[in-house]
Amino acid sequence: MLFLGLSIVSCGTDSDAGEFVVGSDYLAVSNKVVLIDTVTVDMSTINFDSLATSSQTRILIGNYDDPIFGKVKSNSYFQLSTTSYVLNNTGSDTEAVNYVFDSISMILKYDNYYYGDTTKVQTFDIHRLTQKVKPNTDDDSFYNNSTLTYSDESLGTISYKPRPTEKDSINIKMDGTFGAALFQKLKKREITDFDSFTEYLKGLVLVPSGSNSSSVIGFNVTNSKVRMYYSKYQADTDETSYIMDFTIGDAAKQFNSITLDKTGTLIQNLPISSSKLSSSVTGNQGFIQSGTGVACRIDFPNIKQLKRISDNGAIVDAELILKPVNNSYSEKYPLADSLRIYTGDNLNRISGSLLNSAGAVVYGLLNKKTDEFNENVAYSIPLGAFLQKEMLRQSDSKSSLILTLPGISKTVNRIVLGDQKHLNNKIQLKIYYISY
Amino acid sequence: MKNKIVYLSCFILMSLSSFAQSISSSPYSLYGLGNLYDSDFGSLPSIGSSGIALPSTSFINNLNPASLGYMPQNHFMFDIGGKAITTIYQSGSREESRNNFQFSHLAFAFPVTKNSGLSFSLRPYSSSTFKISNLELPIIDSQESYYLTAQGSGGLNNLDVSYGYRFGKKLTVGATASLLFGNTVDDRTFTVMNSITTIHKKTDYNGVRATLGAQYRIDSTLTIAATFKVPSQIKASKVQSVQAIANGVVSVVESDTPSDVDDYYLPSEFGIGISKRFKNNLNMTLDYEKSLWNETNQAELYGNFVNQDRYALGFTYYGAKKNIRKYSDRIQYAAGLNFDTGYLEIDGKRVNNAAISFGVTLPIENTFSAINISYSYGQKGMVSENLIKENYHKISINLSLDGIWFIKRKIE
Repeated sequence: MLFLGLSIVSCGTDSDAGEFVVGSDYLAVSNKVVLIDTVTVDMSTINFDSLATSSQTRILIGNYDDPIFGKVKSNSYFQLSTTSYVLNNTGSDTEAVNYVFDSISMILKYDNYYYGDTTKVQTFDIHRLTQKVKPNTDDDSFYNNSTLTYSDESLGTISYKPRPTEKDSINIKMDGTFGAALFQKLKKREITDFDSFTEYLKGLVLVPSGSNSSSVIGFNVTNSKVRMYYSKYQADTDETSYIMDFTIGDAAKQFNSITLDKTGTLIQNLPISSSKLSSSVTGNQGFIQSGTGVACRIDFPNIKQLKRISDNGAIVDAELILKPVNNSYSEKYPLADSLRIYTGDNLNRISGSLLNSAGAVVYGLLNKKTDEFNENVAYSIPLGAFLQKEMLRQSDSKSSLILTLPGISKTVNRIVLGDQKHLNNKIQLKIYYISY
Repeated sequence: MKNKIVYLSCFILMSLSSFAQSISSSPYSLYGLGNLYDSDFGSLPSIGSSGIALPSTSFINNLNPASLGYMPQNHFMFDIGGKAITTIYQSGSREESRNNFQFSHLAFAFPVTKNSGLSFSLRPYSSSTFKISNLELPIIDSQESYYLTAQGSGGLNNLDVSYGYRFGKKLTVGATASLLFGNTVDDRTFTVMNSITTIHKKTDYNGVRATLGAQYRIDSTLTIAATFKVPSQIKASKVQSVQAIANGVVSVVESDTPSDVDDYYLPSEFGIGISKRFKNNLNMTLDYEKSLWNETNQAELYGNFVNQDRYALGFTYYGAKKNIRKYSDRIQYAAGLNFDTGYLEIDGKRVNNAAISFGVTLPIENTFSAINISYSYGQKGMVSENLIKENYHKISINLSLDGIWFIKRKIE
C-alpha cells in the first residue's frame, strides 16, 4: 500500500520546456511593462565660469567665427626652460671657442587636433610675456579666462594653411634681435640657470590675428620648442651648427585662454554660472561648447509623478536620446563620438559623473547610422538607475544632468541639441516601467 | 487498532510531502489558483466522474456527503489513488507530449451509527505549475517588446471532513467541511531592454467551504440526489521580492514585502444526479452541475471567469448471475462520458473539457476491497491564437480497501 503510493509519485514527471503559453494578454495583468515617453524633459544652457586649462598638454591656438556660438579665440601661454644653460662645450676648457648666433625659431608639433576650416590660412604672432607664468589664484591652475600681460611687439608671425593630420610640424622664424640678445645673455653667462632665464624671458604667448583665421589647431606641448641655432665664429661652411632647445618643461606652466564673444547669438544672454538659460528662449535648443564652458543642462521636473502610475512600480531601464540639430554640424564642425554626463544640483554644482548601477561612468554614445534626413544621428544615454533613484528620492531636491563634450578643457568642439519642442530633432526620453 | 492509526498517520504525512512532487503542469495553470485536479475515489473516474446519486456502500463516494448515510456497519473504508497522465500539448505551430504522475487522494470512512458515516480525505486541489520560456511580449504604449520567463509552482490542498445521515430507508443528507490551504509561488523574469527584473511572489491561501448533499431513493433501482456548495472566500496573502539587475549589478527593489492581493472566491455550485439500475446488471448515473462563477466577481488577477456547466454520464455493468465464488463474475465494467464547459474564458474563448472513460473494478481476493483501474481520453481547450489544446490519456488506479474492523476488534 505504502509502496504503491510512493512508486506513483517517484516515477517522475516530464519537465516543461515552457514553450506553450495561453492568453499572453493575461500575463500583463499582474505585471505591466509600459513604455513612458511623455515625461517632461527641460533643457537649458549654462556657463561654467572657469575651466582649468593648464596641464592639458595642448597648445590650442587660433580663432574662428562660429555661425552659432560667436567668435571663438584661443591664446596659448607658456613658460620655457632648457636642460642646460651653457653653450656647447665640446672643446677643452683651455680652448676658448668663440660662438656666434645664427637664428631662432619656434617649432610646433601638431597633435592632430583641429576644429574649423583648415583650408583657410591661419595667422598668429608670438609675443613676449611681461609677467611671469604664475597663477593669480591660490591654487596651481590657470583657467580658460586667465590672462597674462605681454608686450605688443611680435617676436615672430606665421600665416599658414594648417595640415594637422598630414604634416608633422610648423616652423616659425623668430625675431633675430630677440634671439641674438638671448644668445648674448647665455654667452656672457648672465643666464646660468632656470631662475635667471625666466627672469629674462618670462614666457611667450601665441596670439592669433583677429581677422583672417578660421580654425583652432592643437600642438603638442612636450615636443614643441624654441630652437636657437649658433655656430663657431668664422667656421667652415660644412661645419654643423649648434642648437639649444627651449621647451615647455612644466606642463602646469602652459595654458590656453579661450574666449567666446557671444554678441548677437542666441546665447548672448547666457547668465552667470549658477543660473540657466532655458531652451525655450534659444530656439528650442541647448548648447555645448568645450573650452568656453558652455554646457547643456537637462532636468526632469515631473519624474516623481511616475510613482503614481501604480502602487508598486520601478523604472527598469531608460534611454535619453539627444539629437544634434540638423545643419549645426558639418565636416568643419564635426560631432564628437560621445557626450560626457555629470549630475548636478539646481545651482549647476557638479556632484560627479553619471554612474550606472555598477558604479561605472555612463557616456552618451553617438549612433552614427546616417540616413537621408539624419534622423538617426543621436546620442543615447542609459538613464535607468539615475531616474529610478530620482523617482524614489524623498526630499524635494532634484538632480539635473549636465552634458559636456569630451576634452572640455582642451578643445573648442561644440554641439547644438534639440529640446522636446524642437521641430526636427526632438530630445526623447524613453522610460521602461514595470508595475509589480 | 493503535498500530493502524500510527501507520495511517505516517501514510498521511508521506502523502502530504509527496504533493509537492506529484505536480501537473499545464499552460492553463497560470489562471486562478491553478489547474484543478480531478481526484475522484473508487470507480468514479471510470464512469465519467458521475455519481452524485451513488451510495457509499462499496467505496467512498466523494461527490455527495449524503452517500455516507449508506455506510455499511462495521466496515472501515480506505481509498487511495494515483494517476499517470500523458498529455499532448498542441498549439498552432508545435506539439509536445509530456508524462505526468500524480498522487490523487487519500481517504477513509467509517460508520458512526448504523445510519450515519464519517469520512476524512486529503487530496490536492489545484496545481499552479507552469513554465514560460523567453516569451516575447509587447511593451504597452510602444512598438517595442520585452521577454518574459516565468515559472509557477505550488498549489492548494483540500482536506475534507464529511458526514452523512440516513433518515429511514429513503432519505440521506450530508455535509462536508472542506479546508483549502496551500501556497503558490510565481517567479518571473522580465528582460526589458538592457535590464532584467525578477519578481518572486509567494501567495498563501486558506479558506473553508461547506458542501451540502441529499440523496433520495425512490425505489430500489432509482435514486435521485442533489448537492449544493456554498460560495466561499479563500483568503490570500502575498509576500514578494523584486530585484532589478542592470549592468550586472543586482539591486533589491523590494525584499519579502507583504502586500495586498485580492482574495479568491469560490462560487455557489449545485448539482443534481440520478442513478438508475436496469435489469439488475446495468447501472446508469447521470449528473449535471452548475457553478456560478459570474457572481464571484473574481479579481482580474485570476483571469476571466464564466459560469460553468458540467455533464457526466456513466454506465456500470456487472455479471447478471453473480456467482460470488467465480472471480470473473465479480469484475465490474464501466464506461462514462464527461463534458465540462470550464470556468475560464481566454480571449473570449472558453476552455472546455470533454472526456471519455472506461474502467474495470477488480476485487482483491475474497474481500470487499478492490482495485479500480480506469482509462480516460480527453481533450481540453482548443488550438487557436491564444489557446492550447491538450489531449490527454489518463490512467487512474484507485485502491478501495474495505475492512470489517469493528468485528475483528471484538474477536480480538
